[in-house]
Amino acid sequence: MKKKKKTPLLKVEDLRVSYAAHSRRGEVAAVRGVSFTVDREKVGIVGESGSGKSSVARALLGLLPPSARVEAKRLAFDGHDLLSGNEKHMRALRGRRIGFIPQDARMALNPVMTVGAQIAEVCSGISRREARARVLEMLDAVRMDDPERVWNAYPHELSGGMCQRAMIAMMLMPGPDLLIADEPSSALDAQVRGEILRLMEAVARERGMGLLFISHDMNLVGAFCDRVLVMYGGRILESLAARDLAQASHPYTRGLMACAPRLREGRKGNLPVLERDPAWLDEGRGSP
Amino acid sequence: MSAQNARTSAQMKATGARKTPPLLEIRGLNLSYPGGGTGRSAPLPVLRRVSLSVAAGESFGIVGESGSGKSTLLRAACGLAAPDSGRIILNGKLIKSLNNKELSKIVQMVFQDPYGSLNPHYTVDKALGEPLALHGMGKGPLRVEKALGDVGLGPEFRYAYPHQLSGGQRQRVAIARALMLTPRLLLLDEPSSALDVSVQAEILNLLTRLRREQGLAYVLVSHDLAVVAHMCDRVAVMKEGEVVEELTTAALRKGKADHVYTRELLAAALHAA
Repeated sequence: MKKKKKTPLLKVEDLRVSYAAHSRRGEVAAVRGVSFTVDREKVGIVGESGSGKSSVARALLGLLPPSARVEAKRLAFDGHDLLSGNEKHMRALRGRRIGFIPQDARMALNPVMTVGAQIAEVCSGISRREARARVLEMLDAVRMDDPERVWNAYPHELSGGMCQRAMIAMMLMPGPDLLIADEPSSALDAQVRGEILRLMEAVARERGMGLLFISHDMNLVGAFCDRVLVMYGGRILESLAARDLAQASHPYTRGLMACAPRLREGRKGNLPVLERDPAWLDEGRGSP
Repeated sequence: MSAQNARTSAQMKATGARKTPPLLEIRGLNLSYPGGGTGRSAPLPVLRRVSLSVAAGESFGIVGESGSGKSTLLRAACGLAAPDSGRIILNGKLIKSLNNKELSKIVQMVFQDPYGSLNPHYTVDKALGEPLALHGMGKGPLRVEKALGDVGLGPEFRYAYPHQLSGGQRQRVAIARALMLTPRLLLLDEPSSALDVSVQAEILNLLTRLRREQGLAYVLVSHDLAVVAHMCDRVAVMKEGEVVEELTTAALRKGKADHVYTRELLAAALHAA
């Protein structure tokens, strides 16, 4: 890969997130010093529940609850400081320049507003007619068969896959530079999941966007992203090119890949079980 | 295990003249939910002419996309959903002729989300002891501890509440509860889809061991073909309320599917892997 002199789109340096705990324990550290960059490429963060991957995504967008404490040496998006705590400033970035695609689009969409109307809300300063035309165009771009029907539909009248497409359309409207997708396909069937991922891949490529893809599914991330960051216990254990995932060196990464049953392989007795080494929790301090 | 398997395979060979009836037999099942909401008054068909049979000790898989009727079929098989027509025969008896107590000693269900299926106000001890109390089987603390041991949890979990457990531990408790009345058939509705793959491996290994030790039969619903191929002997493919194809998982692994929809599912599963 050619080294660019330009600063990367997103630069994260020593990000730490902790939550206030109810009991005497004080604070629970969810993210314990994570550093990475994202350029106009597809970067996947994989990890199990509790690894801190979603906290990373939400910290970038300033979407963590007040009980969370976010610290970092640097959290910069295209020259903007994401740690300033200036809500007005964040609002100008969030949605407009950084899009966020949640796991369950149906829950994230407004249930009492038609899909068309809520996507059109994103457009400001243009006539209603023009907004409608642009939304229909975008619904077509996310491969909706019948944009007119979707324009008039309420979220409950659409399938999960269609809601996720509508969500992607909404996020693409302002032409963001970076899309952050937190498990965007895990609520969907295998076939629909494939379609949504191919769609995200295609629009990111066509529009030259950066994509940060959060998932628990190692195989999916490997098939879909350029680079993969493996998180465990709030740290990055391993960072590698997706195509090298099969040759991953860390026992955690290898263990995660081995314990999923595989369709093509014959039926064996027991699935391999991941043995967690407590020492892993102290690794990953000096991640790239 | 060997006696169980011998019985199962003998039964599968004797397709014409069955000596031992299948544990679960479903014939020509139709089920619809009442239509409603915005002007839709016609009932919504969910299951259409579904027939299948599961032998004692067998592990049977059901795959299909969401909305294909997989979960409704499981609910019907344990009496939670009433069919419009068709027959469900459990252990040689029509399901309609069994009362709740008899039914719950033959068949039990394990749901996808143990957090939703365990009462948050109940300790593990109470959740596991309740079926015994209801059946007047005596709520021996030994039975609860043995049940916990069977699913790989120590006695220290007896007085824990669901929110104090991890997802995998909760699913173990849900499995233990389903096994309290020593049923012969477990209906597993996506039992590992809400779990991380490493925890999924532990739960699937646990289910494999329990089936072997207790001679259980499983009907396992999953959207994950690899999980079904790993766990089951035969699999039914459902689409829009119908079983479009039934095949052995050996055939599934080799990609020997007849129905175009099964091939689509296979292609999607292999693409994601």
